[in-house]
Amino acid sequence: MKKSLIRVGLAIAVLAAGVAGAAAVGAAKNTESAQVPAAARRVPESAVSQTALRDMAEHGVTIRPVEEPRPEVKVSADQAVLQAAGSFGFVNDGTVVGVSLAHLTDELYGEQLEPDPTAPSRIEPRVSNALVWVVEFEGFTPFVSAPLDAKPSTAAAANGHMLVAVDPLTGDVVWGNQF
Amino acid sequence: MRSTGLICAVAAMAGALGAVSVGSAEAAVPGGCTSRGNYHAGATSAYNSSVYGARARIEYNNPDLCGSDTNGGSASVVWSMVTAHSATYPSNSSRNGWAQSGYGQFAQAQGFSASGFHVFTQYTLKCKNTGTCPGSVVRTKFGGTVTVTHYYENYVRASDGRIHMGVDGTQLDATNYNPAGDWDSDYAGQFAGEVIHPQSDVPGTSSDVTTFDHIQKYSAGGAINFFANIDVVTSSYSRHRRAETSPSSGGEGLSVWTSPVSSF
Repeated sequence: MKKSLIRVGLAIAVLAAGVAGAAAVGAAKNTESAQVPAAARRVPESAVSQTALRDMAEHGVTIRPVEEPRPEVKVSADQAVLQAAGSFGFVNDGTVVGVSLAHLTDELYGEQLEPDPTAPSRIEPRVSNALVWVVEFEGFTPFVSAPLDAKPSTAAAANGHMLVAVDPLTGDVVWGNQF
Repeated sequence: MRSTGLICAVAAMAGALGAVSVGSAEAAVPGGCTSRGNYHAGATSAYNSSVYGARARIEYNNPDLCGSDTNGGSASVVWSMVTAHSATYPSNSSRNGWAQSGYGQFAQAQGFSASGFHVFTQYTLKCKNTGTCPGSVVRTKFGGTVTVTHYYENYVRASDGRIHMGVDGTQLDATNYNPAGDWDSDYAGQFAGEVIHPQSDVPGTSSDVTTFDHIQKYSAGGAINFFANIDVVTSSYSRHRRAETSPSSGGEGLSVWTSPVSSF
């Protein structure tokens, strides 16, 4: 798969410069009117990596590319990247390796229909065949929490890999999975 | 506490521009954040074989990241957690396992519509117990944004032995393995605010602390009861504060806050 490795920080910087004017006039929520500079448009659309697809499949998540004709969207791929990186700043020392329009299903995320912990789990998925932009990041220092009595983590290796789903109609970040 | 409009946009841009130079975990994050790690203010129950899960109702508050809150390179979270020592290496805390749920600020909105706030879950992979993970030792999932108080729960389901993590009855994730045999059989419930840079603030201020109540444990049979006792743990930094409380809802409660708030 062709990957264009673009520094996330640079992408955000350029994109942020473009949207700063919009924010200044109170249009920060208007994803359609945000100005996306030319450099950011060079973020190519490319399918989710096979590594990520395999991992997701093992964890109840399916990502299915959209078929032609593509449905109409209101948020561009570039804006989706901005939204994703703007929601999770720890990816900023990594790279964007792709953004693609896809249908996302997460069988583990949703209303638990069996509140009794002794009963078998039944989930009504919240994200089921949802049309989303999937933005893929890699090579960042991952967010790792820790218990109160565990040895604090030192600077972790920059091995973070993450998918972020952005609603292509509203620009809202609806899901993220760091692995 | 917050900047808006043009100031926010310009600040976000400045932070983002600075991010270009962040090439390693040791580098300073724009806004003055250094020394990445895990810095807590919180409380723990005792480790006990009767603990099969933990939950708490946690208030929403909006912290500052790296003082000026103008960059996206830090994180501030609050959470409930069930944790255990490694069954194989019980004295090595770097092998501890955990499953948690909470919310956090993971970025300053970059002058666009991203909020930077999300609910999240995180659990340690099976391979962490033996130190054999080829890459990341945790899996972290993020859901929608958060603006109000929620219950954050993590518990073993008897039917599959996995730990299920969620918010107000909405599951976000579940461990992909049964921890029995990898985790020691004594679990503890833990509740805390945490930042990944000491210069960031845990949610809450001295005049508006972040409250945890309904601090409860799950039994093997699924019953949910208050922990009889939790003990506060010495904070990593003194300005990240915590205190036990006696909420009217019963059991013991916890408050976390930052004082003084960062200002650089």
